[in-house]
Amino acid sequence: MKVGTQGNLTRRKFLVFSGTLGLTLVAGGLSGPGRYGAEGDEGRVDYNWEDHLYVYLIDTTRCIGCGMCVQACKRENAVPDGFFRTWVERYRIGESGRMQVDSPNGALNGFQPSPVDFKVSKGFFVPKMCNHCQNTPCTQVCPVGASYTTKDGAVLVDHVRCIGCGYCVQACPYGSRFLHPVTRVADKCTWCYHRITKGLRPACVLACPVGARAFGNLKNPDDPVRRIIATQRVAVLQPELLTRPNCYYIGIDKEVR
Amino acid sequence: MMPEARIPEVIGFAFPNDIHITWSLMIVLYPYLTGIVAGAFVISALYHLFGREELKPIARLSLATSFAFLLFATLPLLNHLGHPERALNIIFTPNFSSAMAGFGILYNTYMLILLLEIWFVWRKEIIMIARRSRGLRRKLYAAMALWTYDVSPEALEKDRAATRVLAAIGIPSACLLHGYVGFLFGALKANPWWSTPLMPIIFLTSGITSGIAVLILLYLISMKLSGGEIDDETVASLNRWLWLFMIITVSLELLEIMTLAYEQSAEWEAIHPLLTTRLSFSFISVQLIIGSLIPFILLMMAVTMNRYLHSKVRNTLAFVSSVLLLIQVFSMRWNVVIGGQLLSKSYRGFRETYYPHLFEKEGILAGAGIIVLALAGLIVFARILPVFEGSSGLSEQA
Amino acid sequence: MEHSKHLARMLLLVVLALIVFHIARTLFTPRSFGRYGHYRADNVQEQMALPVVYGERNSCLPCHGQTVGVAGSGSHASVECENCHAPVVTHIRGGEKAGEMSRSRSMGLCLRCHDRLDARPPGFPQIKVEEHLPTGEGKVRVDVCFDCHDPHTPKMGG
Repeated sequence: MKVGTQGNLTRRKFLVFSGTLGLTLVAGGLSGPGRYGAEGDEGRVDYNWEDHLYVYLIDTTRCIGCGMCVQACKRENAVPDGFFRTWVERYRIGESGRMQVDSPNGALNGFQPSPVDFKVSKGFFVPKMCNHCQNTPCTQVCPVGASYTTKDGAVLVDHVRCIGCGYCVQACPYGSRFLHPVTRVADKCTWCYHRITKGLRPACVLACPVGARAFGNLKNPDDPVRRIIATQRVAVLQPELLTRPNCYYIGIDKEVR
Repeated sequence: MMPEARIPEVIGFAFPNDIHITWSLMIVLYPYLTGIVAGAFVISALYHLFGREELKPIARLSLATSFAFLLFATLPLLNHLGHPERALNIIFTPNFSSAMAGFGILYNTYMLILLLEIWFVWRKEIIMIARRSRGLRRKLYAAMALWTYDVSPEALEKDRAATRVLAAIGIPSACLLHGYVGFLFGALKANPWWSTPLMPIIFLTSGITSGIAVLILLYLISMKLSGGEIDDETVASLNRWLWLFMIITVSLELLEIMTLAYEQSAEWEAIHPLLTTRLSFSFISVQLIIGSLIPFILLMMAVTMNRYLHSKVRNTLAFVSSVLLLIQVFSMRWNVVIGGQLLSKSYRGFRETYYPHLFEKEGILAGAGIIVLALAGLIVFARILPVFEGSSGLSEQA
Repeated sequence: MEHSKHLARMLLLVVLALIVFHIARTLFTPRSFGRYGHYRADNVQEQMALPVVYGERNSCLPCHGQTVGVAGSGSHASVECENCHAPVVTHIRGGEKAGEMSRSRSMGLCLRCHDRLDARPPGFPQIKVEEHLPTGEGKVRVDVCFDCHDPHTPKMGG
C-alpha cells in the first residue's frame, strides 16, 4: 500500500470494501439455508412421524394377477397412461425350461391366458413398485435435493423443486421411477403418503382382494407385518446392490430381479 | 423429456417404465461439447504451461475454442430439463452426493479460470486496440481492460506468470469438468452398461481426442480460407497427440468390453445382445471400424512417416483422421448414453432403437443448431480478439 | 506492488461476482429448505394434503349399509367395493352426490380375477368359461355370470 495522499485514499477504499464484504458474508451466512437439523414448528396436528417407520410386504404366493392394485393406484394418484407407479409381472417357466416374463400394460387390465402350446410347469405373479429403500440410490443422485426420505421411511419427490433432469430415473435399479409427461418432474410410488398419514392404507393394499399386499409400521410392537418379517423367511429384490429395500417379498424365485 | 407418439417395440421383457428413453440426443451432445472444451484447453496448456513451441500457432485458437464451446455447453442441458427455469437450483441448493450437482461448481470454476486466462493472454491486445479505437469501440475495449493501461514489461511478465498458474489449475479443472460426466455414468450401479470405474477416464481421453480433432479441423480450414500458412510442425505435433489419445481411448473402451465378456456376469448376458443386435451398426461399424481402425491406420502413417510426407499429404491425413475421430467420439457418446437406455434393468429385454426426429424439441435440428451456435461464437470471438498472429495487424503475441 | 493494478482490479471483480452469487443464493432458496435434511421441509405437508380418492368400505356404509353388510359377510368380503365399482369421489364429493356410481355386469370383470391362468395359485377359485357353463348354451351373453351369482355373495350353496 503506497503512503501519502494517494495511499490514504487507497487504504480507506480497502477498509470500506473489506468491511462491506465481511458484513455481507456474515448476513448471508445467518440467513438462508444452512441451519440443518434445526427443528421448526410444523403445524402437523394429528400426525407425528417419529411414531412411524413404514414397511411393505408382498406375498407372491397369494397374488392372482388381477391388476386391481395397478388400477387403484392409477385412479388414486392420477398416474398417466403408459407409466406406472406399481405393476405386476408374470413369470412362467415351461416344462422345457423356457422362461417368459410379461407385464401387459403393467397388468392394468389383468393378464390373458397362455397360448395352448406353452405348457407351464411353474408360474407366479410378482407385484412391483418403489421399494422405498433405506440406502436409496435415487436420492443420492438428485442434484437439487428434490428427492428425499421422510423420517417415517417414505421416499418422496418434491414436485416444486424437481428440475426434471431424470438422473433419479436412471439410478433406480428397479425401474420404479419415471418422468411425468405432463408435469415434467420425476414421479413414483409414494406409498400413498397422503393416505397413510391419515391412518388409511395405500390404495394398492386396499384394492388387493387376496391379501397379497400388506402395509405395516415397524414402530408398532403388535404390527402383523412386523411380526412376519421378524419370524418368517423373506427376501428383497437385488439384495447385492445393498439398497436395503423396505419392501419385503415372500415366495419369490431365483428368476425374479 | 421424450413424449413419444407411439409405444416403442420391446424385445423380451422390459420393466414397464424402462421403455421410455429419458436422456435424449441432448445428453449425447453435452459430453461431446465438454469433451471438446477439455481437449482444446489441454492443447493450449501444452503451450502456455509446458512450453511446446510447435503448438504456438494454435495456442490462442485453443483457448478461444474452449471458451466458445463452454459458453454453449449448457444449452443441450437446459433444452432437456423438464423445468429449465429451475435450473439454478443446482447451484443454489446442490446435493453434493450427486455427481450432477458438481456441474454447478465445476462449470463455473472452469469458466472463471478460462475467462481469467483469456484476459491475461489477450490483455495487451485489448489495450492496444482500445488505444487505436474511437467512440463506442474504444469504451468497450477499455472496459474489457478494466480501465488499466499498463503494458510495461513487468506487467506483461506478471501476466505470463498468471497465465502459467491459471493453465496449471485449469488442467485439473477442465479434466474434472469433463470427467465428472464420466463419473455420473460410471458410478451408477443400476445400469450395467454404464457402471465401471473406467468411465470417467474413457470420457476424458475421448474428450481430449475430440478437442484435438476439432482444433486440427479449425486450424486447417481457417488457414485455407484466410490464405495463411499452415505450420508443418504444428500439424505434425497435433497428429502425434491425436494418435496417442485415440489409442488410449480405444484401448480403454475395448478393455471394458473384454473384461465384461471374460467375467461373464449377469451384466454380460444383457450387454452382449445389446452390442450385437441393437447397437451393431453404431458400435461395431461406426465406432470401432470406421471411427477407430481407419484413423488409427491413417495416423500411424502420418506419425511414423512424418519426415517423408509432403505437407499436403500430412494435412489430408490429419483432416480425414480428425473427421473420422469426431464421428467416433460422437458414436461413443451415443452408444453409451442411448445404448444404456435401450437396455432394460430387467436384464431381459430391450426397446427398439431410438431415433431423434428432425424437428422435435430435442431433435436433430436442435442439436445441429447448438453446434452451429458454438462455432458462430468462436467466429464472433475471433472478430473481437485476434486468434491468429498478424490477423489484426498487431506485431507480437504474448 | 508495482504494476499490479490490473491484478487488483480483476481480483475485485471476481470477489464482487462471488458476493452477487451469495446474495442470489440467499434470496432464491426457500426458507424451509434444510430443516430436516437436504430438502424443502414444506413439501412434506404438501404431500400429506394431496386429495384422497378411494374412501374404503366405511365411505359406502352410511347410505348402502345393507349391501355393505351382505358383502362383508360373503366370500367377497376381502374385495373392496371400489374395485368393481369406482372410487367414492366419482359418486359423492363433499357430502353431495357428484354422479352415478358405475356398475358393470360384464363377464370380463369377473374373469379378471376368476379366469383360470396357469400362474394363479391352485387353491384360488378359477374357471374356464366353456367348462363352467352348462352345455348347450349356444352364444354366451356378456352378463351370463349374473344368472347364477350375486356379486356381493357369489359363492353358490352357502
